[in-house]
Amino acid sequence: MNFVRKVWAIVAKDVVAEFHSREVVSAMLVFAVLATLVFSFALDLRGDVARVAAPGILWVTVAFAGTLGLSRSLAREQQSGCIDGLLLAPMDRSVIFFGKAIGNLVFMVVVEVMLLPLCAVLFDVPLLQAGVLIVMGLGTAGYAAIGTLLAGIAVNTRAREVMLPVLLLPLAVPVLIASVRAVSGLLEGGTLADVGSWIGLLVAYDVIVVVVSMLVFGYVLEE
Amino acid sequence: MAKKGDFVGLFLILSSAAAILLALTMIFIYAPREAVMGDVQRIFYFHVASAWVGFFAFFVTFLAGIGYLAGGGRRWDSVASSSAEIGLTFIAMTVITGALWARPVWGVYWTWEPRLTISAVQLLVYVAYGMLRVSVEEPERRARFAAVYGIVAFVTVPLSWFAIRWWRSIHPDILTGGEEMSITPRMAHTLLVSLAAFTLLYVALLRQRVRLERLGDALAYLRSRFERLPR
Amino acid sequence: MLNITHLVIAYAVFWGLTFVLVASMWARQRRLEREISRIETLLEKIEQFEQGQ
Repeated sequence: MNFVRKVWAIVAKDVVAEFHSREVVSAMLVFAVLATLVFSFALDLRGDVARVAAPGILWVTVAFAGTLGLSRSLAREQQSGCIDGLLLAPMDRSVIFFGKAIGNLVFMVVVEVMLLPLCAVLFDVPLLQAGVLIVMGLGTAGYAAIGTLLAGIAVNTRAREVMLPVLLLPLAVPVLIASVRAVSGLLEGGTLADVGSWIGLLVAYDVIVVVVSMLVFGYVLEE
Repeated sequence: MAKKGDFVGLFLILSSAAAILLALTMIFIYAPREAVMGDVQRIFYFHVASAWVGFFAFFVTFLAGIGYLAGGGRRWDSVASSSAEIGLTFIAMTVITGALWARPVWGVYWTWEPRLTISAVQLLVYVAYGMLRVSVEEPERRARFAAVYGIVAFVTVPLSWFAIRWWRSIHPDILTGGEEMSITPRMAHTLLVSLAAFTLLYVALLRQRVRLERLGDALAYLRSRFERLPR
Repeated sequence: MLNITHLVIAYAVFWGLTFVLVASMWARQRRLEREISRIETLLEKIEQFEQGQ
């Protein structure tokens, strides 16, 4: 239980810090809304076209807003020297990983909570149903986990934040495809059982990615 | 390209050349003309073989990354980066020849056919790996980051494969619907020989590429000694 | 359906890319070997000079 408390401490620190400055979530949210609007204009999303495209637009927006948030959150950590403090403390690297990843997950979920109703209205799709929320949660969890690991790497490269989308997106293909297909199926009136194989894939992805990231995260922080 | 006395390297180069020649002979003479697609189908053998090498090379990078993190040292990192470079070339071949095969058969250069799509994804992963390596100056850090990325990336590839496969099976294209070609025993033999030939070629190239890395390291070492001399 | 053109281009691509890879490796190796022998001779000269003093 000590593990959980340590993780919780890190999550709480990040969330509280963000609550005061609000810089990460607001940047993500503004970007997400703008992206959604740009998509709507560019693709002329109305009526049936909008309904079919909605899950995809939603997830592309979440993915890109996510890379913004992930980079910023880790960059800020580096700037404030916080990461050195964490490293000095006698804790398992996996604690830091879970703490950061869950923190990032929280930020993404906050953005999604505001984005979902917006998309539901703009594209006229019943996004606010339990099934969709579950899929969003599963997908975001996997994305945040692998994103946290890769952000840790990206922030330490010459190109910095720009590197993260390059590294992250090819590895996020399973999440993107599965989440979009699952949401799509649910919007067409299917039940969770109908999109069961997609959910299974998301769960498998989440488990695998979390385990692997947890194992190698220490090597990313090592200095 | 083999240094004097590198018999293993020389042997690999010669035998892979011979194997490729054998494969080519089989492809154009031994294998039959395919019933539905005609001669254009002969792209298949090298196309599948290069896809196999592309995947296998990535697997080697994955293993080498683990080896490096487990304390293996520079040697393992050299293998990882060398394998990635070769793998990138072969995956590029796979994607390009796939498109060239698709055009006469289905009329378009690109279909979102599962195998072609997964090759494209792998290509992007390889490119990302390469960009990561170029983006980190300090050698130890570069090796470490590359190893981590190589491991995580490889693990997601099978998941991407399933996702793409299931995605395409929902909407089977009318275009690629009737894609199955009839495989005869002769075609199977030819394919096996092609696979073996490409694997041999991969090993030969890997060996040379790793030696190249060692040369680069030797140069860096010499340079540092040179710079440390009192003026 | 003959369509030899695409077949030919495809094989040309195999050879082309393999050639590019091998040629670039060969060129890099030449350059490295030359640089190494250059530095080795320089080092020898300096060490001789220092011994002579």
